[in-house]
Amino acid sequence: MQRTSTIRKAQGLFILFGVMGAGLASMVVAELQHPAQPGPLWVILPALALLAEFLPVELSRRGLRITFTLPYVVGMALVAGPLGAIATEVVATSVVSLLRSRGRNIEMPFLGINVAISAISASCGAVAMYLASTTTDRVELQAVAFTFAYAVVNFGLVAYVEWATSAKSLTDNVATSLEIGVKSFLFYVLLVTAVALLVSKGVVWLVPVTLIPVWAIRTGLKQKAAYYEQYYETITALTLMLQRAHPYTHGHLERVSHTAEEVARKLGLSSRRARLVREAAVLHDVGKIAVDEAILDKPAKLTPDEFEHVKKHAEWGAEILSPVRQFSPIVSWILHHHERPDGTGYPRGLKLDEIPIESRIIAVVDAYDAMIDSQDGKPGRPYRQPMCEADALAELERHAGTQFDHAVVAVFREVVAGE
Amino acid sequence: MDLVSWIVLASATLATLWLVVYVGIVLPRQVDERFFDSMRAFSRAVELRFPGHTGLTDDVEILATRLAKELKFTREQMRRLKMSARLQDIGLCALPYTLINKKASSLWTSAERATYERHPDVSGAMLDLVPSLRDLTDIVRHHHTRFDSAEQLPVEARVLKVSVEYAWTSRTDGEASAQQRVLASAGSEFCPEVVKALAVVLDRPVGELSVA
Repeated sequence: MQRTSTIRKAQGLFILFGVMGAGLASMVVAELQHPAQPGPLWVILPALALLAEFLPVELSRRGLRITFTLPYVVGMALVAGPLGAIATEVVATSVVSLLRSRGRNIEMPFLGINVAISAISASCGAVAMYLASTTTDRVELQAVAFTFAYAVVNFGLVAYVEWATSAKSLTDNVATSLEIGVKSFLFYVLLVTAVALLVSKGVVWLVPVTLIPVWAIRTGLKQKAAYYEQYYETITALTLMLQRAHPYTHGHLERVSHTAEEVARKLGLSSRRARLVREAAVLHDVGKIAVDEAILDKPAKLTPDEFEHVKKHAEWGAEILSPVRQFSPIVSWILHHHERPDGTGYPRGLKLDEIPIESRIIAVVDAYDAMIDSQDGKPGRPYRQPMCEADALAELERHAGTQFDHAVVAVFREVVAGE
Repeated sequence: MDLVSWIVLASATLATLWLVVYVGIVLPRQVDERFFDSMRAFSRAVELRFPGHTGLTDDVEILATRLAKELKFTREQMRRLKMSARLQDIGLCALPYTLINKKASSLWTSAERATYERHPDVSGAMLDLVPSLRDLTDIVRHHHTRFDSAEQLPVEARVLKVSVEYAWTSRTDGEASAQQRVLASAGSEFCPEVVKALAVVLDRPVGELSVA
């Protein structure tokens, strides 16, 4: 069901982008075409673009990827005009997309969208380059204009397609991609400018050498992408361990992390930080791996000794996460997720603002979900009957200021009401 | 060409050189190292749940690394071995807390023993769900498998088996009985090649082995 509707959406986008791309490209070519002398670069540049297209970084499993053809496309724009640039870009994208899609599960509409997007982006780049050339003679500036226009349009369209055809939010994609890409992008701009210079000064023999930096950028980004993947897989594996030790945590973690992220956003935390809150919320109880499940699930009241044992899970969680470098910002949030504004929490007895805001968010969202937790009408936890949502909210508000943070509870109420 | 052009070309060249060194040498090491560090989270979780295991993973890893050097492991085999040492027991989390912490293993019922003996499979099944750890599944699944069980065991698993048994026995019964136990079962329970390496590492004459 989901799959068919995604493909139908993709088909719609393909037709829309296809018409836009064809129209824009032919307008640009008709308006901006300037006569040019054919030379060896007319062959060398498209060949290099094709090679660069074979060195992509895969961004999603649906065939969306970053490629590094731009230096050679801009070069073509300089020696052969807009038609040369757009044709190089479109042909390279189509050929490589088709070759790579063989034997893999990538739907045709997505390939078409890729090609259409490259046509639109290259056309916009050509227009920007033309506008720049009316005010300056410097090739460097013209190349930079092409690059920025191309990048903005391309990035916008790709993010839009991802958003329209998957459940991920727009800001999510933008944030993730930007984090991988700002420094690399600046280097890329420098590279495009250098190639444009070489081309315009006729230093032909040096142009193929520029595949070395293209390879280097691509390899670096690939390693960064692998690094992020490893980070998320470490989270997955730790969650698997927790669920093995305490099976009830399943749906709970997913709901808590989702809501915690939203509360964090509403409280004005940056989107990067809100994402970290989501990840911290998934991991906040990881210390319970080391807690005796017989005590945790005990229907009766805990003895003081047993309670001391359960309380340890906050410190244990921090201890488990501390070897992972990428978790360093969230370790203290997890250590303090049972602190209370009135200073009677554990493990350190911190007060009010001494408690990280992220810990206060997790505390509220976690407590609420634990109160309403039920599975198929049965209590989700052996020691507690589930409450209705209104009762749970009232309970949070009764303890706002002592057990829970006032501001967080207020925002949390809005988030719950909005859903 | 004017000055600006030269500056652009020179900085592009310098940036390229730096980037090649960075992505060719610095970054891969950094990524590997950090990923390996993060594997400590898993062994720490197991050791916190079962305090009797505290420090065991370190012992196993040190011994396994020495054996691997003796056996001339490649860089890639060494990586897999060290990661597996950190991850082999994550399946223990599925075991009841009281079984390991409050009951001596000699008092286990046969059902309890069977549950315990499934832990390598549980660890393996968990790793199978994590794409970048999937290449360790076979090693982890067989870190307690006997050498003569007629299966094709990965060499990393054979090294782990010896290291785990040796580290555990020397912790419970002292180093002398650990040596005796491992040397006596070379060829049956343990891979003779690995036991030979152990003899070298422990500076014992190889002639003491029943299987030479």
